[in-house]
Amino acid sequence: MNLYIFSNSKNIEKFFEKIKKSKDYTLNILPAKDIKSVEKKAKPASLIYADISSYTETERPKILRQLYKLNDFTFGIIDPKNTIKDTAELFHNGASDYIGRDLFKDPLMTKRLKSVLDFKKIEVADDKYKKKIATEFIISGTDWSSVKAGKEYTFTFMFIELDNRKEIKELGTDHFKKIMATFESYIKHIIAPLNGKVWMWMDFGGLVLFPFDGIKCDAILTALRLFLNSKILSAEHLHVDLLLSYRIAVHIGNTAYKSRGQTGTLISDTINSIFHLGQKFAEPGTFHLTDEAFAFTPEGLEDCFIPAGEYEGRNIMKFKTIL
Amino acid sequence: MKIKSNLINLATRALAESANVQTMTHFANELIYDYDIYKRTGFRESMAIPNRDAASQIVNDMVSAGLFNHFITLLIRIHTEGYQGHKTQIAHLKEIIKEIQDMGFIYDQHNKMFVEDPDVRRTRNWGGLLQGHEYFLSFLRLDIVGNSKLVRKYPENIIKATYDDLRIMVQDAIEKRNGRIWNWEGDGGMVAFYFANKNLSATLSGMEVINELFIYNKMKCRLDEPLQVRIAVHSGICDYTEDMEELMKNDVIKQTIEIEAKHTQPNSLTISSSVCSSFESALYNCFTLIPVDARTKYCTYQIKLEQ
Repeated sequence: MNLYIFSNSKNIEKFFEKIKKSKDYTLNILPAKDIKSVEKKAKPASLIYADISSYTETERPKILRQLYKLNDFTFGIIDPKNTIKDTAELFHNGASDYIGRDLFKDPLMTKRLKSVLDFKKIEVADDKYKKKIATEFIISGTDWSSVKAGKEYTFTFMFIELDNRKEIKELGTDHFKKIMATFESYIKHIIAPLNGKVWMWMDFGGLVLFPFDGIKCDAILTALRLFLNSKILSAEHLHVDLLLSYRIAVHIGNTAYKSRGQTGTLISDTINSIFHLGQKFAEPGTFHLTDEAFAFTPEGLEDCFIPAGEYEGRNIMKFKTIL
Repeated sequence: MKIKSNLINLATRALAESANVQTMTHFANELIYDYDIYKRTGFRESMAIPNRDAASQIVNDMVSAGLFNHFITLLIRIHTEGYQGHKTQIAHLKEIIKEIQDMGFIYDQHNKMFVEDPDVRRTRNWGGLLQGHEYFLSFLRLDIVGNSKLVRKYPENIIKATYDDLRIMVQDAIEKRNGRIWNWEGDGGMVAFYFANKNLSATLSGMEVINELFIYNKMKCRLDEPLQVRIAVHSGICDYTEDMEELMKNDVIKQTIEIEAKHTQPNSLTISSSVCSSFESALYNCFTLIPVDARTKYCTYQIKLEQ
């Protein structure tokens, strides 16, 4: 993220010293007068801070009016002398941050900038994929209240299937049934807060469906927890000397919806794709995302995934191997 | 713990109907050393104490000594196993157990004691451990790496919020496994486990904290760097006491602290060999062994991703 600071203050560099060290931001400190040509100097979708103490009393209203008119930037005001009387007005006119005298005493933390960007729901500038597929969504929502059988919607799909089938079957029919019942029960428990449903269930796993609101995909975090906690699940709930290994794959796509048990007649490319990905592409003990799902990876988790090649016309990302 | 008067009356009636004065005095002696029913009631030794009076005295003395639940546990044992070779039926036992359950206690069959229902209350001793008595416990010790540096580097409100985040993670992991925080100093603490498979509960709690901290550091950490912890799990005999200073002199606790401080890498969990050896092979084999000396190996768990 590009950051442009317009200030003549000798303390401004010290204030942004932590930001300068951060790899997430490119810091540019420019003379206060250069704000008049901000749209030429700054890259679109950048974050701008204007140090209001660097302008005269006459200049300040003009500078603020100029900032209010900006379309392609997020801006904040630095006010080291608490000059501005009505800070709320700044936000009414589109400001995303205000740094007054007290806050200016200590170096700015990167967490503050993250809050500013979250406040404006800033998308990464070059996230073209998210913008592209947004037009193809048929939002199913955050719960099932508006989902009707027979109609098509966009959902998050989580495929999950056990790897160590032979070992489980060797334990005998009773143990096998108990293990699968425990596994399904655990999955139901962990997906419940996101209104997930175990939608298709076979011998060793199946497909979980989550409603999708088009904004975020917390199901990826749920899938990650399932992935990381496999040893805990096995040791705590199975009561046999066995650790479960399973493959998880997450995709966002469209399908007509039918209730569990009524899905036999469903014909869906999305369902076929996710099953192929989980059963034919994914290796044992791995966690994959399709490109569609990766675009909605919760912030902070993106660097945990690496490219895993292409499959059936999609780029696939894989959670890094745990050493 | 306040015992309702109707429960006291019920227990008195049960004792009076189930044993003579001499036998019920023997029962009392199991819990209160040198229990003298004559001194307690004020009756002269030449007089016969009515059953009801003796029963009332004993039950009330147990209540005063904080031993009511333990006394009922004793009566349950006597009812199921007999007493001194004789079959002994204790009257009204089911009703008494029901009343105690309504007070927020569960009868733990394995440990043969009443313990608090964690959905109702969570006290340090699970409502059952007695001061000065020996118990076999598992301990989880957690410490924040570089606490002093962090406290100097970040504003107080950031540190407090971050350490609160960690405490919530720890609480979530241990409470579902019936652990109890015995000591928390802001930058870490000591957790005890007593029930069920305590070694497993302590270890899985530690693993869960490591996993959740991994996610926290990726997504929510308030610092400009990952929050790091060291966690250790060990078990052994410990005299239960409310006195934290006294508790820290216990050898098992000292060993747990040493394992955490000297044998644990940042953001990892170290498990002592005695705890590890109690696991099934599948779980044991998923840990990495670290040699400590010629005879001792600890197990370790961490999340380390390929670069």
